[in-house]
Amino acid sequence: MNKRSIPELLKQNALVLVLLLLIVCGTIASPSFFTLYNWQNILINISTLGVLALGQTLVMLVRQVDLAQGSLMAFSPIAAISITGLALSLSGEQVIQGGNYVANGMIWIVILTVVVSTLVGFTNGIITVFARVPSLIVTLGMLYALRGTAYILSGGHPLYLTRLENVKWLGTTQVFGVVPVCFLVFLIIGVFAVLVLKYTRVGPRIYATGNNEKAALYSGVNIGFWKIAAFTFSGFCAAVATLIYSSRLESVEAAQAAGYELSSIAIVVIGGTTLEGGRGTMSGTILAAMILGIVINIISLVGLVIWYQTIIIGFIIIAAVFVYLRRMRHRERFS
Amino acid sequence: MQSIHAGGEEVSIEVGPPKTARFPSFTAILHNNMSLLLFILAAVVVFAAVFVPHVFQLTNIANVLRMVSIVGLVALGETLVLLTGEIDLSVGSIMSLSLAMGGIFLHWGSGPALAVTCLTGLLLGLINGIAVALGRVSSLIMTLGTLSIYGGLANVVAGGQASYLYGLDAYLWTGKGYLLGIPIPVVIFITAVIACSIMLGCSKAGRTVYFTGANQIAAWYSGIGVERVKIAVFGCAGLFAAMAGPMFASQTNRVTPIQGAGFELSAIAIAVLGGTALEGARGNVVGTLIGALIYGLLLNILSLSGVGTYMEQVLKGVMLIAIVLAFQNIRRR
Repeated sequence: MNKRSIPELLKQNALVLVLLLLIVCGTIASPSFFTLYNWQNILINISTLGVLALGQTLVMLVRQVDLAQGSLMAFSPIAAISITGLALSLSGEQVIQGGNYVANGMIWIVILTVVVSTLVGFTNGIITVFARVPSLIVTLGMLYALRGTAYILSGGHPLYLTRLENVKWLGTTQVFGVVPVCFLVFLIIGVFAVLVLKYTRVGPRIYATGNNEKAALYSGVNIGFWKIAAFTFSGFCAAVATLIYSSRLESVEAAQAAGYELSSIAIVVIGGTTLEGGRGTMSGTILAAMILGIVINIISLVGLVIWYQTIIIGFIIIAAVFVYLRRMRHRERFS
Repeated sequence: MQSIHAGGEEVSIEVGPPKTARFPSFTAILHNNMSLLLFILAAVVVFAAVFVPHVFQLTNIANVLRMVSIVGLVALGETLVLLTGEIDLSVGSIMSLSLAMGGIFLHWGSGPALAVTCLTGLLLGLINGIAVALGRVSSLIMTLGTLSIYGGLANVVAGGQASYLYGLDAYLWTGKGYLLGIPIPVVIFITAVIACSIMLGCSKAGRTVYFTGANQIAAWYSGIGVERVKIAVFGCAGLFAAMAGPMFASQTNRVTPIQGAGFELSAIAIAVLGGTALEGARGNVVGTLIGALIYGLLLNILSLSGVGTYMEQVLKGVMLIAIVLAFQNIRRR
């Protein structure tokens, strides 16, 4: 039985403390921080990036990185619309009407978005594992290729989504009029990931793959499979994120979500997952997503321009890395 | 081949450009990245000559070379960083911020503005290097952070506005001028490539760069100041990114705070195209030069043949993955 001293307990829940501290700061900084409307805004903003970060966490746990997420968020819905358009044009129906209004086949578009996105994630994994190209290069190439394809397929102009009755709830509805649905979706995926990593055989295999690939291989872990699985999950998360995003904006654009991959890496790093692999938790990522969301919210409430936002996020990333690094060394020294 | 005695057994590490045999066989030529690169370049040139002969008009060639040199200079710095096994994602933001800092001094004239730009770039690169080397942070994360910070600061410094380069002949000359009929960016780029090539190939300092990338623990035990090497290469990357800034800005006669956005990805793409491995210690700057030429020519062919900018992006990505894949497979055989 390990005795836990108070400083140790504080250290282990540092992210929760930071979160509480930020809430206090926000309340002091602005009177409109602690209003229901503002909180709903925060929760909605958290969910898109948070879902992305969950996928990125799994990828980074197996010591890879996924830079294609942002482009994938633009590519998958546009590709889905194109495919649906092709399929329905055979039966004489027009999906895109009046130039750039998407009027038909919404349910197929949603399903295909998930399928396409997951497949692209799967492809990233396959290339990384079987062709042994570093995932940084694979996903960097994909970042260009997917974005370019998205532009070609959409012709460069935004596609407005109409007849969204059946899918609009994802981005805009509130459960009991309080909690946004998209935040619940984020939480459900997050908690599911936490539980799977903690209580099933998946967890040890993922951590082993990231920690020491060779040792994992010799102990019978199928490292290739778990890497591909991580990339596939990341692709799926990108699909969910883009569904939330576009159901709120009611449009899809080839330029959307540019740079989101960097924000998602930032969240993962703040959450304590290191790029060295095999270290970090999903719950850390969930908390980090909330922390980043609240920081961004406070910055805009205080009235700082978006430039300061990027500066502050940059500093938070570096600070987080230094803190975790120190703690890691400390642990190694005393273990 | 260099051999080091580590822990009683002999470990051999291949560093630097491989020595060529006197009569290289066909497979040996295939194994040599440089000949593969030259082959690809030749293929691109032949393709251009057959299908898009407009590429070889003199003005177009000058334009292509000018852009190749500007992106190539940034890629050159990135190559040095990659050779030590690190990565620098912030070169684009360094370019933006150093241009913005130089922009403050524009009313003092071209000289001070250019000097401030270069100094800022060097300083920002050194900050990256010091944090990575002494703080022992993963360079990917550190430069991801500074990508964000420098990019934001560039906007803050410039107030989010562009400064126009009126009457700054010397400043504009860096991008538009000619020396003996050769565009100035090309002169600067070639000079930098030659300098770096001599430094990496013939000097002790160059060897330490490869050693650090090959095995930094072994390098440290053999008395190489690994930290110093890393700080130096990050400083170089910052300096080169800042030097490319004025050349790029003067193409459009203005300095904007987002001038360098996206340069980091192009720079990494070019360095990797040129045969530099992300794991470090493999590659050289001549490869980067050829990589930049392939990259610039291909993009130019695409835009001249009317494929459109969107298709360029797609092919850029596919090309990157395909060429690295080819390198990997050839190496494994």
